Amino acid sequence: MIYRIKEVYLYRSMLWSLILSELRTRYRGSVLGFLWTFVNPLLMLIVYTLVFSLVMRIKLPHYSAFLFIGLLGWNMFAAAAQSSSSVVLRQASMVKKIYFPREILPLSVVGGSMFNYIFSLVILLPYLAVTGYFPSVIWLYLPLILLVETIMTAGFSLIFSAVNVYFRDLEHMLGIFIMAWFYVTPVVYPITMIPHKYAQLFKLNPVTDIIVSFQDVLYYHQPMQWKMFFYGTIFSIVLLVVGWQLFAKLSKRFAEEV
Amino acid sequence: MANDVIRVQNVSKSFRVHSGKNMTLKDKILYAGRARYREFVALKDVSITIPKGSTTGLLGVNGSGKSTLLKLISRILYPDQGTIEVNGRVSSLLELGAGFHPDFTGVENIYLNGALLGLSKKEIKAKIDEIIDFSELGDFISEPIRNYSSGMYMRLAFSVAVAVDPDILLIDEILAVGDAAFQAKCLNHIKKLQQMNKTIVIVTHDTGIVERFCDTAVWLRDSRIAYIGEPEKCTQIYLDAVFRQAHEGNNMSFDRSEAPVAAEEKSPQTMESSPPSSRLIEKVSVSVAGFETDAVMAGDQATIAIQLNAFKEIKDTYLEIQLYNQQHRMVFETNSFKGHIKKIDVEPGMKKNVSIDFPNLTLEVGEYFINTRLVSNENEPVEFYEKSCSFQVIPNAKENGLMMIPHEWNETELVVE
Repeated sequence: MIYRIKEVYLYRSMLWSLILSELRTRYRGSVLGFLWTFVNPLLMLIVYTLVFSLVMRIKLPHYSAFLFIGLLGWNMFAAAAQSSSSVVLRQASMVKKIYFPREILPLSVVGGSMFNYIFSLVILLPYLAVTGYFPSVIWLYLPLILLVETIMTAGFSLIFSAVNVYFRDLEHMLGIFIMAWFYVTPVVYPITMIPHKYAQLFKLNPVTDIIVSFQDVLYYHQPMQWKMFFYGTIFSIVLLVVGWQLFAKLSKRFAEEV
Repeated sequence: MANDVIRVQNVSKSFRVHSGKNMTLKDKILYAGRARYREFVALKDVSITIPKGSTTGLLGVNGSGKSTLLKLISRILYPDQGTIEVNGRVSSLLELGAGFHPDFTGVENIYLNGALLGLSKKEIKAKIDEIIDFSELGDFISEPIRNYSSGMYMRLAFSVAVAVDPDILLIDEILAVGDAAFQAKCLNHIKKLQQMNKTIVIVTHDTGIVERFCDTAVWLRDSRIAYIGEPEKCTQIYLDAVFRQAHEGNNMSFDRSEAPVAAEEKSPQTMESSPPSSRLIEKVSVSVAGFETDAVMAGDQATIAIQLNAFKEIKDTYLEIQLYNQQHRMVFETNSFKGHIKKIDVEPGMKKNVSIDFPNLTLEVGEYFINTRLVSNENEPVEFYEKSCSFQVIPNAKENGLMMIPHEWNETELVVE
């Protein structure tokens, strides 16, 4: 795996240019262009705020802020996992024609998703300030959480992208699966709302650790719950190592199978 | 020359030819345990070492494993057995324009494509003016490339490929596409790289190129190496074998998949053993005065007829024929586009006859063969039928020499005062 990481490092300019083209092409041709990166989360915020604070009337102070924090964190993971599942097939012509460390493909999707998250902070942070959540030192934990989430997302993305080449149903199954996953992750509800007897079960979900950490730092203004965060970190690193090895094994036949 | 840059040892590679699309869950369950694919052996126990600075040509009919070997060397494919060692930066001219993004401008695509080929941003920046100059695109370079013509697209792609400074260059049948100017540019570039002591591996059908450019030639037959050695000797043995096979009449076994490599990638069915009806160019023949023949008298009228069988739709194509002599030098080349047939279309299931009339076939006495190529108007090869037809030119009693020059003898009485 060290060798593979070295290869990816050698091809870093390719990784970088794929991330850039991923970010830039997403909204190419539309009137607002790159502004969509910001408008999108803004619209999402408005819709969820309307639905959950006007209709559902959840008793949580500044619920839209709470929701927005979780949602952005979740989206980074979910969008990357879904998109990376088909990335090898989308780039089939490249895979068949050129050598490059194949890891670059899912990793570029994850990278694009990460930058998208960072851009959406441009909307999130001012919004938090407006609703009374002023920036604090605690927010400095944010990059650390984002790093762990990126590692975890990369692990899942490597697995999904490699398996989907041989088992193409995965892409479609993921659509439903990720939706279900969303509802067992405390994004729209706080983790404290989970009935005690199911709490252990919910803790098995690694994405929970990330989302709750985001909420702790940004919403509750307290450091992460270290035990939980530590579990999430260990899980992410193990997942990345396992996922990468699986990917390395499966990627050998990519050029024949796509 | 002890430092071999490419070392291939006992490499075998086979492919799974899926007999259908059984990639979905339903099929996986339905056919669990039963293999719905056939093994297709592309390379079997192949060993070869290529020293630094040499140029090697890979010869062989399609399906013999040439392109597979090239892809293994470039690490696109992995061998099932054996090892491959490659020392140095590999670049291959089979990747022209790979990863181009239509919405990006020419300059942006240079960066993108350059990065894909392993160039760093700094390296590209240093070479960008050179690349733009080479491409001769002028102001178009800052336009999105979806507005480019296919020729401009190729020029840009080639310019980037040239800018990569590889230790090892792999070329796969690239010389078969593109116009004459483009091919000349390719060949010039190869010569320049040879002078710079780069290692080059060329896959081609063109034995002429092997003889002119290569230090060593390798003949791959039926997934194995049949001969390694002197280019001239190798091409001779190769062509002899191919001809003998063709004359014995069982030519189906080797030229069934004579589609060029690019087309092979697009239509995997060429890999399966297919009946003759899967060839678009069904038959090429020579006739004199309406009768098919394999012997034409020098200077005679003759017609070369190409019969197309559209088992699938033929659209927007042109035909090209190349006439080769016994020494495998190309004597003559022409295409239907130049012959004012702007495009050839054949409805699926229909047949068409395209013929070329030669009022006087002024060829030297000897044996000739014709390579026929069906090419789309975007210059993408559709089908390549090598040695599609061969014929003899027999002497006419009247003249001798390398060729028959049309002429007329006259005599005039001069008045003497």
